[in-house]
Amino acid sequence: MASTYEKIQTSTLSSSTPSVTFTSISGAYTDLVLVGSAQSAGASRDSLGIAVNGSGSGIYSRTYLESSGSGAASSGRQSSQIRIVSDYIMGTTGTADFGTYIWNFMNYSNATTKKTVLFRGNNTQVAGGWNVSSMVYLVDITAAITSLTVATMNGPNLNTGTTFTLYGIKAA
Amino acid sequence: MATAITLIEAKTLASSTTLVTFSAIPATYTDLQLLISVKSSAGATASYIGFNSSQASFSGQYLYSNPPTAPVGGTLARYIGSQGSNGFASYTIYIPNYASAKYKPFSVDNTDGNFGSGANLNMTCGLWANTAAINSIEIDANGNNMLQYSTFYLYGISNA
Repeated sequence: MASTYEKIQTSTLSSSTPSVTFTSISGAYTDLVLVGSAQSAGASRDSLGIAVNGSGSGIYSRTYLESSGSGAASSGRQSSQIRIVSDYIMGTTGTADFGTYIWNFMNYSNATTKKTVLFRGNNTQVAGGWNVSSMVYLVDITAAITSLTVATMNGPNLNTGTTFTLYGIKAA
Repeated sequence: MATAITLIEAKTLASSTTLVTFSAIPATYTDLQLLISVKSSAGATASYIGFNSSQASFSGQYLYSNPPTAPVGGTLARYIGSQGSNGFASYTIYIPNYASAKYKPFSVDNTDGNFGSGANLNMTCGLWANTAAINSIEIDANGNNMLQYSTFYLYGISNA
């Protein structure tokens, strides 16, 4: 039987690095799945941001549902975002904490429709301050997605041990 | 190109049991994914996970939606979601870097499968603060029986 779930590229950081970029993404798949485990090289909490095709302009809009601690969850919608942002789902240097992330990029290689992204992120910190996040993003481009660049939103490097793996899913 | 996802083991319950265990999990994959369809003898009940026969050093956060009530969050160790009073609950559990020497976070999406009063949603993150490789996974329904026809599929995902 033909394989329907294949690794495209993987990156494991052996030293702290400003960003991880997956380039020249083949259009041979139907959907993409990006799985990450990441820590900031900074000491303050941070978020991850993904630029699609290198774009940092306000082409990203989202609806989110998040929970941290006890009590009411938060949800909302925002437009004109400059990245696909994880919202404080990230471990910080000097701790054992790594945020975990799964992004699903649907029908990413077509050149006629705008792109949708589903996101699930978690940060379960040993010292408390846990976060659960679920989002849907709309990326206001019709071009095929050919590159994804992941970095912290506030500037620190991605820390050693951070991993990202890009998988392709085939419907045919 | 080789497939990145491999079925490690499938279990379909032939009779009721209070604990489902995947043991001797090989360390040859990068991540694990566990897909569950399960119904409890108790009706509505919580479900929990353990690793390597341990229930210690776990922490977690959940986000629970039961419309029309507003979604709420909370903290609960080992919690992976709930099972409803009817229907089969579904779980997708993702465990990245399960064989690493780091602490082990995991992510869960769950619906309790209630088709009478409406299904509820649970999203959970958990942490096992242990650096040992995960070589077994235990699932329980808070001491209640999990019924015949419940299914458990464990997959290995490789980035090699």
